[in-house]
Amino acid sequence: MPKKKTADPTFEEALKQLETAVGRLEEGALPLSVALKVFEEGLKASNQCRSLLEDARQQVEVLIRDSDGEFELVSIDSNGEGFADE
Amino acid sequence: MERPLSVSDVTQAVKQTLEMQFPPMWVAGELTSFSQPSSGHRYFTLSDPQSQLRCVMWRSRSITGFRPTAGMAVLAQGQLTVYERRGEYQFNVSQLLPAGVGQQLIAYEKLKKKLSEEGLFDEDQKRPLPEYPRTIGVVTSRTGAAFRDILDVLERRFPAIRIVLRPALVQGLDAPEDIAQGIADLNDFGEVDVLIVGRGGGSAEDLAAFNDETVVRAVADSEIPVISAVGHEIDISLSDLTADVRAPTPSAAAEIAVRDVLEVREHVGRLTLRTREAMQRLLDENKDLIEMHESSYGMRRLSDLIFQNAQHVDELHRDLYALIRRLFESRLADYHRMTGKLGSLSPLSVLARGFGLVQRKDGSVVSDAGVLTHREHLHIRFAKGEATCRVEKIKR
Repeated sequence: MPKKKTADPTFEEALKQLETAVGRLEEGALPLSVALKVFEEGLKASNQCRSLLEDARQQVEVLIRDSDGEFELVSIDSNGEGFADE
Repeated sequence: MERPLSVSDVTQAVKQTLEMQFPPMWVAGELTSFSQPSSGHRYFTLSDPQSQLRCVMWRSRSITGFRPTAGMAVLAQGQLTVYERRGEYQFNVSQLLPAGVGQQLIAYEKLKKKLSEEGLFDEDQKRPLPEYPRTIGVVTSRTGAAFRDILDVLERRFPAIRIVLRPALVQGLDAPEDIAQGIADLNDFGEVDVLIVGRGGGSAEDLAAFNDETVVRAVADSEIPVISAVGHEIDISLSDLTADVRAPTPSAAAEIAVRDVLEVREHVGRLTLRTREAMQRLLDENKDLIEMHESSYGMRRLSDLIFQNAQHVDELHRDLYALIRRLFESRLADYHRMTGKLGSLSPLSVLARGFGLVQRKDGSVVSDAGVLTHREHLHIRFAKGEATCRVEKIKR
């Protein structure tokens, strides 16, 4: 997954929002205007969950720490290239 | 004169005293005069330059990994006892090992005891794994099969994931330091939700690094939950005991680290269906209100949802259908039942059932006849099309 912008929820957060929406709606007793808002949030969260599951591909990186203690990440092909040679 | 004791009484007393005074212990020595008669029991002597210790090892105890021969340096674990018939004390051996292997085992057991007393293996030290990790850190050899196996399983189960490998030596003298540093590095790096630490199967010696105190302590000190993946069927390493979760192989560790994406998608799909069903129940419960246009804000939101989200809802619906069809052919009938119901429950059907949305010229939704003026024009939106009407009579 690419480094997330703070505005984008993680899958777990989106799922939690969806679960919260279901919970509140199923509890009933919400004023209709609130319910509609919750419903809309639920749909939005559902859509976010879906796109987070569908869009991202496996991303493989190697962590290297140089002598100064700085981290460097090197992407490698998860299909195996860049593997055999150290 | 006191009444004399019998020989048996004396022997029994000595035996009891001896066994109580000497708990089970390890003894190092040179193996001399080893014999194994047809009974299968072994009789031998442990010697050093000053003394000898007679030993017996019953047939039921097995000797694995080496053939004992005279002159060999060994370690024997057992219990001192008395052979009553001869009135001789002897060492009843339960485990016999070559000295080198024995030293390692003793060191292992000593370390295990120490770490156990420190609480490193305690169940309440185990942290739960994250349900949906975004990034998985792996400490293992870059070229070994273990890493390949982990990638394969993750790709199959949950492709939407980032994997960060910290390559480490997994055998040899430098391995413990490197593995421990790798665990520390990934902790310092900070973007990792769960760690897999391990290697593929190997002999007991190949796994020595995972019994090293440095590695065990690094696992214990890790802020990030650790799944140990030391592929060995028989031995459980100290790292395994310390890790939050122990997996028998690297592949199994990857299985444990993530959920199956198909199950997750189905979960999301079902939650989405439930959201819409619950919403529809609320709409049904409130239909009188809607009919009377008593919730103008609600109606505005509703029309918004109907017209802007209809397509989105349809897409969701389609995707879910495709997913579940792929996943569970057998549950298809069930699903048809559910989607059939959903069709009638869609927010669109509120209008389809004959309700209308009434708006004034400025777009505000009318929920109170009191706001209207005589002969004012109103827009009514139906499920299909709309109409402009004129107010002829107002009842407040």
